[in-house]
Amino acid sequence: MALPRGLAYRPRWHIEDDTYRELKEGWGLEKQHWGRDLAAAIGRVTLTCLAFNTAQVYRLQAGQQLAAVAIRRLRRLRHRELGNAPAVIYLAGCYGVFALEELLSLLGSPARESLLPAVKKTSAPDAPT
Amino acid sequence: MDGIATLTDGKRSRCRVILIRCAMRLSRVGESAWLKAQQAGVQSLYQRQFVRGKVYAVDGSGLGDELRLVALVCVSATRPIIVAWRVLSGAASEKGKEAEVTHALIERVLEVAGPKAISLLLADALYADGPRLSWLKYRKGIEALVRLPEDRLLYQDVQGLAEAHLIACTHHRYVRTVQGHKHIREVEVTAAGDLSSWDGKTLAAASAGVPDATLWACLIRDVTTPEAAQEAPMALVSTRRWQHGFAARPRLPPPLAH
Repeated sequence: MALPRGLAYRPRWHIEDDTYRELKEGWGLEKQHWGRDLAAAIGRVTLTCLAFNTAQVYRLQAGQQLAAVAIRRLRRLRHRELGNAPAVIYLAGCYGVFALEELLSLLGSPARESLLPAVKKTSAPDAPT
Repeated sequence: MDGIATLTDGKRSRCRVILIRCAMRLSRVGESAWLKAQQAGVQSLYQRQFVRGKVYAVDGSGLGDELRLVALVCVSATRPIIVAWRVLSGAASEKGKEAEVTHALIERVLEVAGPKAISLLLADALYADGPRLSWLKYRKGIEALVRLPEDRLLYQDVQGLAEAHLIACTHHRYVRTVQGHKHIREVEVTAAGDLSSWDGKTLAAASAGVPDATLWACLIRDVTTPEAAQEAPMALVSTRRWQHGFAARPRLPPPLAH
């Protein structure tokens, strides 16, 4: 008898092998709870699942295309203002992207020497907040 | 996931400073805040169309002795994406009770991704519950394909029909590759539709306005070796009718090495 193509129950294997096994053996979810407290465990699981999804997306063809395009484009747009390693500050539901030089200056310890190509106004005026 | 060790008097401390500090702060964040983070993270994946396909699976797994993680995963593509999850503790984390959170996980995904985001839900035998299948099919429009435990009346019904030759049995032979080695696998499959001997499901469907709800079920017996053929056949139950049992077959465990 010819074999049919639809093997409907087989994808369930993904949750056993490619999800839980990955989370436990690859991401250490079972060995390291980050404490006995339930709230800490929920936080640990949430962060790990979000990281797992992010890694999965980057392994998708669409994710790889997005990553390549986005990083190059972001670098072109922001490199002069933010340098190679900008800092993202998150506070009370808002975030801002700052050059390290600007952040140090705001914290009261201005950098003695800047590595930025040309600093006029480092904080991106159109940065989302 | 290891922490960063610190140097004390030239010796490397084994104390994981980062992890301890991190855990202390994590415990101050409430469960609702983590739920918001989960929803925001998953919503962005749907918005960017990274979650494709409508076949999902739900399952739970223990995290040590006291915790259990239940997750709803999109398994349509080769890379599974976790779209909803919940950590259970205490009595709720006991094996067998995890299915109770299925409704909440599915509702959460339908809210984020739309009411038709899920077309088929795959689950193991713990989720073979009549009212749950009925809720999926008649309230949410989601078909289910679930492993059927051997102690269910429906299992015995299908087995009885097969033994009495009242339903056809088909033989299938196929090649499976396990760790680079090809194995020939042979199975016998029997399927039956229009089954109504599952009271829980039919009752729940009747309450949803569907008095003549029926189920489809199949038995899959591995007959590759005489030893395998002696074991009880695996059974699946579904809210939809499949072309035949082989179309719904699961991944069988690899054959024993000789």
